[in-house]
Amino acid sequence: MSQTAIASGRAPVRFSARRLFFGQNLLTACVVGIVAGVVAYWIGAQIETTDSGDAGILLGYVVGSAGFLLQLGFANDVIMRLRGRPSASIVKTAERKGWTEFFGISLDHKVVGIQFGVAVVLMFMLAGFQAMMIRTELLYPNGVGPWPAGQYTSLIGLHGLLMMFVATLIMVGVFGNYFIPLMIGAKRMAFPRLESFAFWLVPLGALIMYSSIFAGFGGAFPTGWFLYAPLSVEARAGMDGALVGFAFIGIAACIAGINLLTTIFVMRAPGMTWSRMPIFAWSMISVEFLSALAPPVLLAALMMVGLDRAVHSSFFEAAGGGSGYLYQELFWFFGHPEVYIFILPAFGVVLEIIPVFARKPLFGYRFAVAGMLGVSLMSWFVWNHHIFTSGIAPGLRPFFMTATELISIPTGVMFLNVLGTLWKAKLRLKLPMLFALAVMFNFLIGGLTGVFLSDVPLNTTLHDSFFVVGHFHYTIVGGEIFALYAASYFWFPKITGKMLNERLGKWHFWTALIFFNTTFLPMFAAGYLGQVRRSPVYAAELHGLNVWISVNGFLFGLSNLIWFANLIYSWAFQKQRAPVNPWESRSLEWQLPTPIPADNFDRIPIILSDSYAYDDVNAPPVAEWPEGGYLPAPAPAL
Amino acid sequence: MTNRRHLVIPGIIVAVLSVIWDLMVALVLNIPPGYATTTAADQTVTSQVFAIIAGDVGMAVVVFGLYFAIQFSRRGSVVDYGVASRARSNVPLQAAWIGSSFVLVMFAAGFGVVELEGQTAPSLVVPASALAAGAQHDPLIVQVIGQQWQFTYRYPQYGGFETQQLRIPTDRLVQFDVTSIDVTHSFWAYQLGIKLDANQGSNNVGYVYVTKPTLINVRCGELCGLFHGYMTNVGDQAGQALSPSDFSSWLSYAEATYGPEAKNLPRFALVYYPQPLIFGS
Repeated sequence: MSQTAIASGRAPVRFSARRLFFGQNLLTACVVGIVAGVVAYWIGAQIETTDSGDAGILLGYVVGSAGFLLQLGFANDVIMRLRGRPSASIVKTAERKGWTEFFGISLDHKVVGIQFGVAVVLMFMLAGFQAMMIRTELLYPNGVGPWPAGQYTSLIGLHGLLMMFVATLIMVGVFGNYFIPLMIGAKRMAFPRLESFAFWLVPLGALIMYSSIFAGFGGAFPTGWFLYAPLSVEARAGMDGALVGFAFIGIAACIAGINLLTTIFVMRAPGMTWSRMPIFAWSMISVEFLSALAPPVLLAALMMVGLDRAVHSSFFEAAGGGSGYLYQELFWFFGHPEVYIFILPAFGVVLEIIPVFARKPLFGYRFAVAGMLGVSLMSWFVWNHHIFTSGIAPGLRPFFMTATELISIPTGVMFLNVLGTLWKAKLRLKLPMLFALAVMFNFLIGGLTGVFLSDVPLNTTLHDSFFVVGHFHYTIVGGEIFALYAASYFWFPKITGKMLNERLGKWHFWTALIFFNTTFLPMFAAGYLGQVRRSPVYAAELHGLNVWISVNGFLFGLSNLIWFANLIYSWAFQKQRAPVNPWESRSLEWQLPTPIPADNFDRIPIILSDSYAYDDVNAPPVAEWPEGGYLPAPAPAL
Repeated sequence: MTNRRHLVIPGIIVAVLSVIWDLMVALVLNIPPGYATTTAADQTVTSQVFAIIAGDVGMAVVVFGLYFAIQFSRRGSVVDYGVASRARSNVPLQAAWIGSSFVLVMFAAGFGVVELEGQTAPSLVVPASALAAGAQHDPLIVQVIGQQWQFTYRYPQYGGFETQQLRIPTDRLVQFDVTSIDVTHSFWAYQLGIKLDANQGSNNVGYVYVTKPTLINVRCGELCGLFHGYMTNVGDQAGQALSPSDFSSWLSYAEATYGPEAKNLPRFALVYYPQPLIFGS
């Protein structure tokens, strides 16, 4: 490689037809995957003992995916080792392969973070578009909207499941992968190959889930994102795609969780003690325990549904001795930790951003850590509150009601952290800060309405009504997605070297905050007034309310387009480069040059203090680099 | 002194807003599901209590947060180091925060458990005044059968006839036995304040005591496939809670009309399985 190529950090990309058609790359992987899938489908259809066709479809999806992943090169290293060859080194030099890196296996956690970012944001826009379609149907009270009943149920299933994929992965996949090694002073993730494997399961899972729309009459799958058995057992062929796709996302979340946990536990730089770790890293620890331990339960449940469908085992059919309760218990045992996988990283982002813009140390750091770990632990003991009306043993309900309400105590800790940090601060209300404050506002409403739902007598009326829809959109969209906005405005300059446009950002902030609230706040009223969720039919007197919600929902959708446009414009078309540390943050990732070198740190830094000492003029820089290191911490401007 | 000002001003705002909100919840807002049954009335009262607590707590956090954010914000982008308050934590404050949220939570939980007991135990569903006046203890049993995509109702104490309209009497304990013959449904009788999932192979039991005649809008709460949204008894098809005399006259009409059909139905049971069984043999 030439000296100039090394200096620019980019190796020259030379076109080679041989490499394109016979090498291991995305193109050949797709071809191998499709061929393997078709062959496996044919074999499955031959050996199937029933006439449902599900065995062939399930086999086709799984074998095709395996073919795709093998041809992409995920077994290369294992094969090399089996043959007694040395494993390819994962410690990279300052070499980058250019844009092709983004279409294959990359062992660079920053590349994987961007891969996750692009894939998940595209999924988010698609699923958001489906939300607009749902609201279009609900402009009409009696199910006379543009989509017939079957397509409407398919729409809510696709919207729900795809958004679940997005919400599961957007924080962990994008910001966890990208910033955790930088924040804790590591050169790489603990398991770079697993990290890339987790990423490639995501487009695969999303495509497989989405392929269910080709299943014909009525479209995809009729069960919403819960995939409740026995409905999911008797549903048409589209169900198989949802099962396999969801399972892949579960595996991805599990692997990403193990990987991040290991990274944080064993790869911290010297001096990066537990109490000096950025709070975002603590939020990742609390999330990844859930992310590593909850999805296996989901996988078991999905596998049982698959077996019920393909070979008529009888896990969930009462007539064969099974029970639909089994599915509900397994699903929510996964499902409730899952929703904390969504919100805990949002707390991490908010608590990470607010001290930077308040120019004050985070108030109650240990308190916040204890709160997040407490939420993480307690989230295992509340799952039955999703099925209070299902006819579970009545004696269980007081316990789960109390446990659910107790979880609001560690959750409420975050509000004191934020209020305490704001107290007597010198705030700069920049866009990341505005969004961080909006997260707390939205999540407050989401959290307080959650207490209504945890109360069994109220849950009797509110369960499966639009109150629930309002509640979880307030927590997931108002909490997590707003934290995503905050994180994108905050970290975009470090990832891309460009600032997000401030004027567009202000438009985005005010439209998002206003129209989000005008969309979802009336849903609490709709729920109390008896509107069933997942139904295109509602009482005529709720027509005006629903038109209001729909119109505001469209406006909220447009506000997301502003954000999307801003991402594309600022990244691709804006000429001006961002400062290295535009927010004057003390955190380790901001001390690195932009773009960040492939190896992150030439030499591992030695951590001297925590990153929140904004109050102390004489605080030591956060880290000391041994000779030849990067920039020192910014000098205080007095 | 200036520090105290930053607590007193938002404190006063919170106090004023809380009083307005509490009065509004207690006197102005007409919170569903109303007072048609003891169960629904319990929920209405619980909603009011929770709305007051949650509203006050939420308002306090929002007002203090907004006040701090506005009061302490600095224009321009000059970076400041060295801030007056260096507190990285405040243990008594944190303990007080945990303690007060614990008290609120335990109050909510205790309140909920008491109310729940009142909705679960049949003897508590019947109001004490009615018991004193000699109300009947034996419940009227109505079996609700969910199927794609309608509810049917069986009255086992009256020959097991089956109807598509729900009729129940006021001033008498009613026991719903809810089951499904296919996928999971949910029997949501809005005005009664009950929602009971209908599960294949299981019997989900709930009680209500209707205190005044009312229409009953029934909708399926749990997604049950293609026509889930149309699985309703509303409008002309809405169920009715009738006065005891109206109910007994409806009963004799229904027995005469639907009774002869009952012999063609499967024998009354708490659960039903599809016939013939496709599993096993």
